[in-house]
Amino acid sequence: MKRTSGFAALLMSAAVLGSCAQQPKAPDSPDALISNIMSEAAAAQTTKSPQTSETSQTTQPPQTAAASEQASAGAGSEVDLDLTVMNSTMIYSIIYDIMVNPDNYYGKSLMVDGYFDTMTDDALGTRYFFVVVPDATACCVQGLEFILPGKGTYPDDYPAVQADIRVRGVLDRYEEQGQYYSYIKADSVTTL
Amino acid sequence: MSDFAAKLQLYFSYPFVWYALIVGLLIALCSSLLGVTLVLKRFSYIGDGLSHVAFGAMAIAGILGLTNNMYIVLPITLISAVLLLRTGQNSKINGDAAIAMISVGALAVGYMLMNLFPSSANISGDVCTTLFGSTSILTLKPADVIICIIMSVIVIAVFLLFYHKIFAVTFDENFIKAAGVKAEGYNLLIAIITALIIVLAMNLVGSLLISALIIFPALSAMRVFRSFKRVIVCSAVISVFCAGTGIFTSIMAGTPVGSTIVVTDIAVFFIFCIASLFTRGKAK
Amino acid sequence: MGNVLHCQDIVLGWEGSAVVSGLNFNISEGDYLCILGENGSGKSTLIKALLGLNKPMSGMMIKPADMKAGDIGYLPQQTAVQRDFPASVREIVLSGCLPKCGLRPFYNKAEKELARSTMERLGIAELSKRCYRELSGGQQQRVLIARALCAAQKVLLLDEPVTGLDPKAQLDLYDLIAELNKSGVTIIMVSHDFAAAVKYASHILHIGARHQLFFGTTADYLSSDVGKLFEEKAVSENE
Repeated sequence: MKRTSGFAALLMSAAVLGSCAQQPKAPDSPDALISNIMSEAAAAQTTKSPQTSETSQTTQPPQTAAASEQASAGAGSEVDLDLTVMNSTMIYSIIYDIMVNPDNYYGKSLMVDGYFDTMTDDALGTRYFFVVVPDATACCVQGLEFILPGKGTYPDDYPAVQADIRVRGVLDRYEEQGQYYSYIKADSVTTL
Repeated sequence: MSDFAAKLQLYFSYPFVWYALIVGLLIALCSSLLGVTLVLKRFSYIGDGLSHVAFGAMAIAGILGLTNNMYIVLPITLISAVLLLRTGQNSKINGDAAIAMISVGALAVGYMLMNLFPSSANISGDVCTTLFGSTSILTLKPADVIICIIMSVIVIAVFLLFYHKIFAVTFDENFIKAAGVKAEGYNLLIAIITALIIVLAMNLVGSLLISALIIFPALSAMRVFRSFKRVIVCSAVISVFCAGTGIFTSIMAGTPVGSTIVVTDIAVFFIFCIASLFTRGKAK
Repeated sequence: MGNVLHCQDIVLGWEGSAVVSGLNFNISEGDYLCILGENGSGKSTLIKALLGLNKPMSGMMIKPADMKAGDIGYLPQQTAVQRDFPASVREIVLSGCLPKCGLRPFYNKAEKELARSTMERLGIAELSKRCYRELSGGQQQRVLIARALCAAQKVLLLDEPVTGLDPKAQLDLYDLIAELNKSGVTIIMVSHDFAAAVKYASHILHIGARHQLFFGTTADYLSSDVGKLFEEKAVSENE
């Protein structure tokens, strides 16, 4: 059930991307290709916080440094943000936070468990890959885009759709059609 | 144990966890203040009806794609609060049926609209979030927190300023009217604050569970305490305690926030039930 | 003796249709008026009119110029809400002072003192911290009378005050009301207790189906046809 809805959401995100392609300079188009499947969040992304590179650098809360320090210390792992040791409520919330305030997270290494999914933007002909994370009630899901080192070829270098995976990498962003999108620059993607 | 502490410290390094705690405690406080009055006035159903209306309004806001759905949800809920109150008082219409009609109707229309005009593809997710408030409390933005603080301060201030009037209207409306006090005005005030609280509380526990947040602390307090003031104070303490415990538990254990808070409220209710048996047995 | 209320050919209605008509009566300061009538005779509509919550459809209702809405202390019938209401006696009596507060959010010293002295006057001072729902029926009525007296010192309107009380408590309450009347409080009591009405009241207003049957002093009432008829009925009901 949740996976079906997640997939439907990914298709929906594709539609959003498609519209971006047509209106590259629309101020309310999504800034990040972290596809948020929760409608509220999607609304927040598309209409609430249009982030350009100018604005994105100005909103750096002081908590960021502390957060990452404690993240590595508390979790006792070598990544800044180890989502694999957290419970689903926190994972979901943090991913939402990454999406809303991506600037606090760029350059941080992170590790996250979820299931694999993929979609294609028909207008651009580009394929995107996601690690999808459901929330505690298992009714809302969010996806984080990741890019494999050297990109690889689909489907040979990728896990099966819906397979449980662990993605490890650094949060980064790229520019496409004048918008910034956040993604995980993956060091490794392992099937669990 | 140190592992637990480290985890706690880690989680609280995120500002959104603080936002959730602040907003959660404030909403719990506000809803418990009004809860006693609503339960005693037999208005519990208004809370329930309004929360369903708010759900329908949320669906409309979603379709319109408003940046802040407060602008739609708040006015619609306020108007419904006034209407529901009128219906409740009107002897011509069967108040019970009218309220059931409005509340269930709003629920159905809301769900229908969400399906017909999906603003995102994850309808089950939207519905789930609005009904059960899965994680929305943990996804608040600073602006939401400020709105919530302002509204809570208004609710608390109104409650304190009109405390004696609210008591009198709750205890005996007929007497107060006969004494030349405009009871309708205060009823309206109560309905409006209730609507405010419900719109706020949708973030915390979702619309299906709001009634629980409003009535359980009041019912628990009424089991044990015997003056209005003490019941209100006790209910506020219970509600804040349960909301705090609920939020901590859900963050640490990964359970859904809304239902964790309500389950804590239910647990406290049973403890107070047992306590009341004990104290009454002693008195006799 | 000052006039409290003068009603001349009043027609009372509810939502456009007349419920009771031809009401002619007069209440003076210090009176003990008992309004008798069967259920459905329009007593509750009359109460609303007396309290100023419901305007007569026609006729004249003359009140002294210095009398405002709320100058009649009201003892309503108990509602289901009150029976399990968590409130202390003091909280309830104080709420009688509420109309005096206006928009002021808290009670002042004078109002607290009024509540205290009224509780003393009605012999419920030692109950002040008790919970209302744990009191006996008679005690509860005393609390509500104290509240009504806080709201208005001169006139009390009591709606079936002894309903649901045991005989001893009924007697106590009637004695208390008579005592208040002696101390100068004008009493208007709605009742269907014929025996108590003719025993305590100075005046009787008897309403039949849709119109007034009798108004006058208790002595006149007892010698009137209506009074005799009702007396027989009351006696036969008691047997």
